[in-house]
Amino acid sequence: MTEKNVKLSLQDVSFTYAKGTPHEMKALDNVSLDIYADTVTGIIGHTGSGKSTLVQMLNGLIKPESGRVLIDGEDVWAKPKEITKVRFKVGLVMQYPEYQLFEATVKEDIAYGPKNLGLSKEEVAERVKSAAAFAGITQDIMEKSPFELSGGQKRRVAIAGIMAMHPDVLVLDEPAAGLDPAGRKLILGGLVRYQRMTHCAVVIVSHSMEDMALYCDDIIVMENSKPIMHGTSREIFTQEERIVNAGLDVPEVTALLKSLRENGFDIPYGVYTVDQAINALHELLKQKKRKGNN
Amino acid sequence: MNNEENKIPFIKTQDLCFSYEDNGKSIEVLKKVNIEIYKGEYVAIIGHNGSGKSTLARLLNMILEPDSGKIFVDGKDITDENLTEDEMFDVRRRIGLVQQNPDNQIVATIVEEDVAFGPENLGIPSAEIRERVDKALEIVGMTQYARYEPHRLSGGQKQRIAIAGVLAMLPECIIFDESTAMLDPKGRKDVLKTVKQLNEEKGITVITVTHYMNEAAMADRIIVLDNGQVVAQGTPAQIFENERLLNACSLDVPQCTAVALGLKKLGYNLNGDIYDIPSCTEAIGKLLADTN
Repeated sequence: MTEKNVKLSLQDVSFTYAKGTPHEMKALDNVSLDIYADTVTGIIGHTGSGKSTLVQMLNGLIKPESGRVLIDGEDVWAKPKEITKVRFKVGLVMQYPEYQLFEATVKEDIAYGPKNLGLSKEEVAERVKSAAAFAGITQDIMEKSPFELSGGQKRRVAIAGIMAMHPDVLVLDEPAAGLDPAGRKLILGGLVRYQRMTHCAVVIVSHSMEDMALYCDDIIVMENSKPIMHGTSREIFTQEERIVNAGLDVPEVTALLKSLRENGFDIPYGVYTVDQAINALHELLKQKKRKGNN
Repeated sequence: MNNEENKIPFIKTQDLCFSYEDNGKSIEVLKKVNIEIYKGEYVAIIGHNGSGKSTLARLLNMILEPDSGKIFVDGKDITDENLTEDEMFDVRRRIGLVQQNPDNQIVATIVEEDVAFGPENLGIPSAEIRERVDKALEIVGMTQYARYEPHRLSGGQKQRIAIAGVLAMLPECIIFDESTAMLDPKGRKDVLKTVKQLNEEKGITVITVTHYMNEAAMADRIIVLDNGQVVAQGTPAQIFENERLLNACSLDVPQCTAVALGLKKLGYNLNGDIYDIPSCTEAIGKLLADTN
């Protein structure tokens, strides 16, 4: 694997909610981690593990009480008045972003961000068109009011609006929550295609281990306000015990292979997607046949 | 489940229709839906976003009223306009509902008070309420949190409190409307375990509306809704065999079924059911054992 470039990093970052009150709660505890450029990174962790705070930290929405947040090696809080610049570099799509649409048409909603960047009309139009394509928004709904759309369509319009800003880092908190399987595929597949075309860093937070295994290159596991693991999907999901101890799980397909292994079959490890499982079993069956024929 | 003594369905819908107005246009959500749910059954309703499944759940719990068609509970027409208020409350008590967002269904500031909220409204004597609350918390495994403030709990724990609140009403049936959609894997597992236990040990009829195919695989029977109509129903094994139908409905098969179907497409002969981890382990295990 080629050397990866660090795009964004946290150095010894801590953050506490309601500090100094009886409700004080540590959300990030001395966190150091790197987010790489040209990578789809997944963040997993149980409720309350610090994921959402981490996401807001990446985008400069909250300020670390200690430690530093660096983008391209520069401390984003060095000049607090310029923190809005960070929000252009790091686009954040919050949970259920469909409630934040407000323009008269889908097209204008997606164009809102790029227009504010002071781009030419042509450039804005071009960005709107390509972002819509990545987000799976068809031309026939571009002139409609966002309020006429289905929940899944609205969600994709909100994502397209952030994509059209061309952020260096695109962060999404549960982008597929509540959607049916086809809707999930449309959003997550579109995000990966967008990442491969733009080579930006994409960060996705999700509770679906199956989706994370399928769409992410790297995964960070959060527990008790700290990242406890950071590696490729394969490295993460082969360590089932640690994952389960962190209140998480392995993808169903990984559990199926474990179950076969427990039934006495010699099944390879490190399988976490459906296609990998089919290939691994196909290989195993071919081998057995060959041996049987000898 | 659907045996001799259960010939009369617990819930039956007859040509159920529902639509709503949007910008002066009428949107048909349910088009003559006919389903039957038997006592003690565990039924999953699946369908894409907008297929009408949540609307159906709300009609059964009488949060919504149908435009036309009837709903029978234990043979009694609950859509009858002469239904008294008491009778309506009784239906809502017998058929409880647990919703998607754990934060939207907790009303009190202490867990046990929240669980007591329903029976208190029914005017149940306080000694009996105490008993019901303790029992309900015990069933969902949350006894030790009785005196907690709900906001201190995780999503999965809050959902189990919501279930306890429904249980304290002594329901015969509970509808779960995407109740695990916002939970982390552990929270989901804990809630699903509770649901299964309620069905198997307490005999409570379960209707679950879900986008997770592996959750639907836990049911006795699956009903597939597409564009407001029932397009298929059967056991998980029967439904998940039909990958083409599910894909046409914007749905999917569980991952383990996808692996087994993938092997079939490669020409391997797989016998038996393939809808959850144990059944797929058996089918694929047999294939591996027989190949040599």
